[in-house]
Amino acid sequence: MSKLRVFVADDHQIVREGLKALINAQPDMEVVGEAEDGGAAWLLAKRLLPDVVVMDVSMPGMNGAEATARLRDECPQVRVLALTIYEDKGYLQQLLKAGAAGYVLKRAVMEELVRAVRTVAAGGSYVDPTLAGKVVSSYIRQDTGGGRQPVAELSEREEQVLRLAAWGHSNKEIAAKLEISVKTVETYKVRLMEKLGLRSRADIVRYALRQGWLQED
Amino acid sequence: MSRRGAEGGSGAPERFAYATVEALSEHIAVLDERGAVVAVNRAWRDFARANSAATEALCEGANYLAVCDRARGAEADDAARIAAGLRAVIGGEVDEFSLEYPCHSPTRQRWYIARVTRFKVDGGVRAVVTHADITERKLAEQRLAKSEEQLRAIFSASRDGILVEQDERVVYANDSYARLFGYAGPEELVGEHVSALVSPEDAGRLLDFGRRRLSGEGAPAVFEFRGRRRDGAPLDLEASVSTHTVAGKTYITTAVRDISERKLAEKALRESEAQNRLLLEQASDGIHTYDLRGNILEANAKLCEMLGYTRDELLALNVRDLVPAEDLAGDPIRFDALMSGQTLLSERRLRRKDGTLFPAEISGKMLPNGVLQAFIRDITERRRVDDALRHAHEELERRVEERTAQLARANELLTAEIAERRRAEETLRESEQRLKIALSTGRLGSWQLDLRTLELDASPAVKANFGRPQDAHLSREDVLAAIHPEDRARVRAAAAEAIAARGDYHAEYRVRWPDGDTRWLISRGRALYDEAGAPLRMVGVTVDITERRQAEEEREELLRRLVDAQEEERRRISRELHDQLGQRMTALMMGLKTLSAESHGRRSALDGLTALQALADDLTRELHMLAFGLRPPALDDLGLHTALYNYVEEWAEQARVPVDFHSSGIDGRRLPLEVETALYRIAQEALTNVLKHSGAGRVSVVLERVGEQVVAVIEDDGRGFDADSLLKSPVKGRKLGLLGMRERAAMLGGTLSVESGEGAGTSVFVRIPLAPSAGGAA
Repeated sequence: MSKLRVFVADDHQIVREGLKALINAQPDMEVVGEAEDGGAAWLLAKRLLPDVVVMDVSMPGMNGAEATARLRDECPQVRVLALTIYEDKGYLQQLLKAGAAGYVLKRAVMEELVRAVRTVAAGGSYVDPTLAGKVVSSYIRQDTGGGRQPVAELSEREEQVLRLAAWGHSNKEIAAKLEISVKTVETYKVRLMEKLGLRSRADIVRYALRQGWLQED
Repeated sequence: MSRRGAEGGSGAPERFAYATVEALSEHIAVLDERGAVVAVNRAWRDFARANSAATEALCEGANYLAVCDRARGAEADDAARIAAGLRAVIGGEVDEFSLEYPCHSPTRQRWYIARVTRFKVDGGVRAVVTHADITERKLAEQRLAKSEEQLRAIFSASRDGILVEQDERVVYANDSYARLFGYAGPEELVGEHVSALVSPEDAGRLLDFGRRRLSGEGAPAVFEFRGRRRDGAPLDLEASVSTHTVAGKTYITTAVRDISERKLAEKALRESEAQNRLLLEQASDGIHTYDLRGNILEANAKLCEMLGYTRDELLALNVRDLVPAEDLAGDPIRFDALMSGQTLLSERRLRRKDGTLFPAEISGKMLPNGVLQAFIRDITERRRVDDALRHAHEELERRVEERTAQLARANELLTAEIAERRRAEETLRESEQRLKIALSTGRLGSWQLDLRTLELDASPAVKANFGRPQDAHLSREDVLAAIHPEDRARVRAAAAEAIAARGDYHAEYRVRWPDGDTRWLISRGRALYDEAGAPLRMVGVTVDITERRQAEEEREELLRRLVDAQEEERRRISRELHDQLGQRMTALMMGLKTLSAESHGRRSALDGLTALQALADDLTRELHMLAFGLRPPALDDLGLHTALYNYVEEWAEQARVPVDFHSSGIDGRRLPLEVETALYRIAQEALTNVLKHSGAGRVSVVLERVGEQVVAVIEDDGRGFDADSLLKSPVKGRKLGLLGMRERAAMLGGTLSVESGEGAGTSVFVRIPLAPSAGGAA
């Protein structure tokens, strides 16, 4: 069985050396090329067509996300495994959107890189377990935002209050605009939220958005 | 273990012990009291044989001390030390002796530790000498030291002074810190008690911060304090502090920045104010300063005279004591507006010591040092003139209706009144002449406008406010033409509304002087009506507030620059932490892992390596948290939506409070960087407040683009508070947080409001325009 051909891109030589040593120590893998910025990684990987590119996210010049996107466009058979020092979930989403098949934190590289390379080479995807938990829970949360119940009948006033609240107005401002008291606004708000099963201001905004009430005039 | 001599039995447990010792990887030898080798294990024999001619002799029968004493060359020093230690152990001077020494072979670097202990046998003494290979540990230590060196290199390159303390003692300082405090170098600082670096007046406060931080009670992460240089000179600093726990010890890292220049500028401002105060001591206005609770701090001679108190009596009073209680109830002193930087011009009755009341015009504002200041002018005379004037007018109107014949006489009366009023004005103006230089409230002029003929009668001070000579004519048309075109419609509308609503006219606007200067003025007035309710005339005053506006703008600009510089510095350090240090930590961790893979299960080496790996892992996490706390790279790389979403999730996890985050019209697009930064910081502060105060069970964060503005709402269902009274109360902390948030929004032309009530949760509303409109009109 032939070895997995791995390409390494990282702007820090010391990290690159470590990655190479680690990969080359595996009986079923070999490093076939390396680059120290995104542009070189893209050009070289296009020519070498490795099975997996281990791509640092933050590199000077063309960054990892852009190099990943280009590689995915031009040679979709090359699997990209993103490697980063950033633990923010936002980078993960950016890289996955760019087409990376896996995402490994540098902190855990010794434990996970080899497994991740094998996984993505076999066509799977691999995300650092600590990050994966966060991503999943935030998707679940976004998905179950309240207010999916059928539209209950709102009175005209309730609808006015809801629209204004969704536009980011305070109770005091709503009261002034509708020429009613702040207490009345509060009462309307509690009632309309109950009717629609909304639990927070974020729910109110989402509801208004679905009703098409937030389109600009 | 091969033995020589008489000791040692032949029982089974003993054989087992010997077998065990024989299998150990440490090199072990037993010596008698003269240093002769009595027994050695296999590891010792193998090592001695493989190593060198000198050590080969070190098997049973040889004399260890003699071999040590004979050593020459590079090993001689270590051999001598071991021999001395061995003699000390055998002689009973010490119980144990150990020495780490290098023993490099031509092909690889190696280190050993030699240990000597003693035991008694049949009345005689035996020494046990062991040598163990500690090369892996040494190498790992060297790498760690190197990474520490790099950490220090970054710290020493920092322009900020950085100090690390533990148990109130300095363990590390960078060059900038030493330079700042006048020490020859960081090494001079190490071991110092931290209080040596703080001016005596701040020492107690800072030590308390440190103790609170260690006990987990929390202390401000950023604050100003006065440091003490080595020569005793004071030093104004801004500190930002973080704590790190490594291997059970808590280290406090303080980064300081010299703000002496800023303080000097503030001091210069205060001094010029002090000069002003000197001038004002002789001024015709009463002047006093008071703190946020209303306690009077200073008062000038004129005020004492006006109120009939001695200065000492006044200093024991609260400003509220000067106002009749029944007036205070309907028209409380507006500390909130003063604290938000507004200058308030009001008229109210004041009570003298003898209980009598008099009308006063009060102009209050907050000084840059946070103290409130008020100018008080006794307007009894002006009131009398105004009243007389009004009476005269009313009288006139009545008479006009009754008998036209009396018009001429009444007119004479009016003319006389006006003349008298002008004389009063002139005297007033003369005393104002001196004030003009120091008083930011500028010249006060009065005017009246006939609403039927639209004829304007302006005092010389009003003319001066419009840049006209005293004898020039100033018509209503001249006034309207001089008002800045952008402000004109607003001023006219304000006047029309005041007349229609029978309310007060108040407008703040720019005028262009004939010489091209632009000045800011405030006008206030009130219309008079005939018995049928038709408006007759409007009387009012106009004050030049240009200097005050300029001072406000300068302060705002200064603040903006400060905030920008702070963000830039945070961004720089955060990047450095990630890109330099973070990458090297990664390499270090890979190295450690490789080492442990190569140590083939040797317990002693593995334990050390595992501890080092855990330490490196901790450091990496700390580093990430530190950089994230300073300024998350995502804010620059990925934008507000992502950065805030990340922050909110982190927050929710730590606070164990669910957060419902929603953003629309923002994701996928970048806003101006300063808007993104401001909204991020405001949301961060608001969420910090929620955590500290609210006890909320649910939080909602909404970020929307609505037309040409971005709206952020941070809402919780916690216990809430009375937002108005909090802003008025003298309690600091949370209020300052709110003011800081408001200031941050205001810098970008935005607004911030808070809606809350006891038990009703709290909502913070921020609005920032995307295309800031030019010249905020008042």
